Amino acid sequence: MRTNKGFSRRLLLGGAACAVALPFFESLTPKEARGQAATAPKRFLAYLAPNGFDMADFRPKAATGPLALGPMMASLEPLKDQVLVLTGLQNTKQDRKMGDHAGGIGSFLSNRTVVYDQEKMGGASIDQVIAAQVGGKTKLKSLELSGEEGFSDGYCDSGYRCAVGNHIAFDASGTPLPKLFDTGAIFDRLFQGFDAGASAAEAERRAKYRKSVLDNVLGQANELSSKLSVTDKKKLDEYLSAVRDVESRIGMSMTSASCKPPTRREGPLDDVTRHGVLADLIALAFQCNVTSVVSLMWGNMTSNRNYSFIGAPGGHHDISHHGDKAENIAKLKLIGKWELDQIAALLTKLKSLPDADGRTVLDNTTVFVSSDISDGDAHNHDDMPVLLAGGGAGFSMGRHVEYPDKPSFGSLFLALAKAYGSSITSFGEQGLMPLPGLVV
Amino acid sequence: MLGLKWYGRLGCRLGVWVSLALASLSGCTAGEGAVPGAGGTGTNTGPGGTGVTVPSGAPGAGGSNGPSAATPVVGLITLRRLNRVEYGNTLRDLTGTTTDYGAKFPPENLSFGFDNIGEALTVQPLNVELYEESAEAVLTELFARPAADPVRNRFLTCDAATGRSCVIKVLQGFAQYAYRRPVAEAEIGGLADIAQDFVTSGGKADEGLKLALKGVLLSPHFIYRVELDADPTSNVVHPVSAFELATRLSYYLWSTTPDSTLLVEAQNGNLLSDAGLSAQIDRLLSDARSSALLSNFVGQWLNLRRTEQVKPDEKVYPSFDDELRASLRQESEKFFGELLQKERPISELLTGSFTYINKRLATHYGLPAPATDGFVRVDLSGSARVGFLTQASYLTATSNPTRTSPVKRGKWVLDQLLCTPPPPPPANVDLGAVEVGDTSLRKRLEQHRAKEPCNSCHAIMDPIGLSFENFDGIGTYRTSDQYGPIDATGQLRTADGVVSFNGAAELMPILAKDARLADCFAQKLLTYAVGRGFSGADAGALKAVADSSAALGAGVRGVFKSVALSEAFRSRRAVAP
Repeated sequence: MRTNKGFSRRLLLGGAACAVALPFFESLTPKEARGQAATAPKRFLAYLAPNGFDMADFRPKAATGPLALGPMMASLEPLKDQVLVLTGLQNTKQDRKMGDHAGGIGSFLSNRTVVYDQEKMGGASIDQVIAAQVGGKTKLKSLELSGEEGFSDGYCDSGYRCAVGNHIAFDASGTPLPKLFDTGAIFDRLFQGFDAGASAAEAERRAKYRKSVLDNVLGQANELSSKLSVTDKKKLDEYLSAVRDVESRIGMSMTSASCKPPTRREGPLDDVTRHGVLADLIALAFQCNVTSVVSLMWGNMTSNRNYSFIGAPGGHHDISHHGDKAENIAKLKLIGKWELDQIAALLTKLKSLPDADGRTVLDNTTVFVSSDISDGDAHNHDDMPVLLAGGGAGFSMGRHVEYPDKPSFGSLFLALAKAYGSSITSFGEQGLMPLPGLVV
Repeated sequence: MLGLKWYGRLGCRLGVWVSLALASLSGCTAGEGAVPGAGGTGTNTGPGGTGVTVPSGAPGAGGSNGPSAATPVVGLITLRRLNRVEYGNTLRDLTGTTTDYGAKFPPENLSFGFDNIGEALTVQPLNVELYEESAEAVLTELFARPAADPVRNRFLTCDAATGRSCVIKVLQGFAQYAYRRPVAEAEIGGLADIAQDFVTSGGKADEGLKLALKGVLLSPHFIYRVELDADPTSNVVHPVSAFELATRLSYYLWSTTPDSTLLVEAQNGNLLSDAGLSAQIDRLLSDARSSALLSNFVGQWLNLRRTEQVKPDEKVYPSFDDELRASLRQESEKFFGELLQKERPISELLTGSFTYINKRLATHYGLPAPATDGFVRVDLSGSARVGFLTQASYLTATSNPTRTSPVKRGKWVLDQLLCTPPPPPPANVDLGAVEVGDTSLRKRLEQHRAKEPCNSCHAIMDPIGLSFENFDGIGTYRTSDQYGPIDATGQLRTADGVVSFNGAAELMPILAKDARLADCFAQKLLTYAVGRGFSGADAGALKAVADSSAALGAGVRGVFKSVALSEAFRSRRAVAP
């Protein structure tokens, strides 16, 4: 039986060689101690791999039925019974002809049309709908991550705004949630407590005054709001709801006694290392119950990451316009394989971590992997590549399901929302019925 | 990158070789009728304009709308929060910290090509968490300063242990700089109560005061640049208040909070007069803090920030290193800095026959190395390099990892320098990767220009881009590539008729004559200064800037000044007309 007595709040960090105080553990009272069966939270991870996939290699080798992994997913073989591949789905896009990447990214988790000239989407993305169900008792309602720095340019695809063209997570008002890129900053947000090194009484006192200050600025904002124009009032509403959310989470920190935060890494990292560090951070954020919902954009919109390190030199987006040239298609197969190798490593990590209920973290998580488009040259938003993994939603895994009638991501997301306990009856623009065939 | 998608797809593959197509007056008509490039529809001078005939765009471009009396000079701008650069600078100037707290924030949403557009700047829980952390850290720094420290003494003017009146005094003194205006006692009374309560319950007086000061740094009056309207439901245009103007001016020219002098000029009302404002513009432009214009405005307009993210392929460009990467941006900033400070015309952006190099760039350009470390000005007269577009920053930022992209280079000029982005290509063109293949780029581009829908735009973009082929994907000079000798010749139709040129050095004076360059510069600058998107439709606002710039001497500095003197900059409205 664990108690919080003697639990070290200090962690010596390898690379930085300095002691970083861990947060005060508000209440480490494992349910075992009270003689109850422990439960673990349900979690969700959304993963965007940019520029589509080579569908010939992505697609399973056999039709609907038991999963026979295609060449791109070979490294998922040991995890096969926890993988579900869906083919034939489509998603919404943008309101103009051009801008398929922006259209595919803004709609990636929202299933809403990306509208020209708009800085917002029409509503929440699925990760935020799930976070509204499962994110109430964690330090962070959700965590948004980026695997690539900055933006590709000052504009985001044919004049679409970067707010919608380069984000996948949107709150209930359709406002994008900013992504963190630096792995040191991500570590700090997850694992570094605001009440570093304080005693219980001190921490409680700090929490009280932290709340007082936030209450005061909320009061200032409310008073200011009454004097503002409609436009400015709406803008200030973002501040009000953000401060309220932070205030509601004061005192929350790691609530799992069994987890051990990873080593803090920061600064420039090569892509292989970066992916591994991100995987560790995500896995530990889940196991430590710091958050239950994460979204990761491995690349920015039209990412031109240079995959020369796996023998595919050039810019990824440039190559994805393959023009049916064998050289380009061969490179896309290599890139897709590499991405799925990394995803396999991430899933393996989730599977290696014990959860509070005695199962693994992967057993309690759903991972959704897809892209902004299907084929990089055709720019199509149908025949989308979809990989689901883990047991968080209770879907029947180890299968391939083909959907000949092109159902929408909206239907899949509606099914996911329901699996996470949401009572919504539709999702996005096309999620009017939950996607069938997920549970057999 | 915008447009990347379609140069790759638009392989109008015809085996017909045609001679270099000329830009036609009808311009690009290939699109679906919608011009991309937010805010970039350009002030179209049309057939009667001077300079290169560039695509006249499509419906929505200035050309078809024309200067419209219906378009107000003063549009609706959205409450602007400090972006991460401004936030970091502001904490620096407020508290003397040397830590850049802005660097801890995620990148801002870019809109209209800039990161300071009110509508796109959002606040989410992550921002609030970072505001809390930054406030805690920066105030801890302030309180740790020694007793005689002038920054400490500017604010911590009394001993908080002496009671509430001291707390009020310190809070009010700090808040007036943080909020950039006078602050009534009632506004900070609640924070003083928190400090008092903290002490009553056994806390240290300084800690209580720090807590209250934290409230100032988390306040919406600090985080946002608040501007009020006497009637928030009226669409009537009115001048912003003197303090609001001081704030606009300071964040425009310095990307930071107003200094004491500027606040005093606001307080005594001088700033509201043309002469008073003009004097402050001159003062701010001459101050070292105006270098923020180079890193923020120029860094975004000329895409210099992109050089931090480009990843030239190590095998193709083994000489590219981080020292060179850092030097690229500095060269172009220093080059533009001279245009600004020496009051040179904007046309010299393209034709300036000088640059600034350090030892690393000297090696890169094959020029004699400076005797000292750091940058020196060098004369480039008679060399192949002339103006910004032959600098390695632009040449690298518009290249792909393994090769140059003439289409991207040409399109960038139309988008960013002439504000006339070509419309997207038509759907259903014969797709193919035009820039990927086994013949020379020029030849493949010629093949794909042979077909009409491709031709109308690429006949303009491609000759411009191909003129830079003597510079490889990281801007190194070359006379041949893997396919043979470089051919950088081309032709363009201009107001003076068809002109032929050989290479960038001959093309630059032609481009520099285009009237759209100056209009585009004003459009970009207004967007940056006011925080909303300006486009060709804002003809009134652009004309006002152009007219007043001419009166001010027409140099780059005059344009910076005339923007700040314009009605668009000095006024606001609560509701759209």
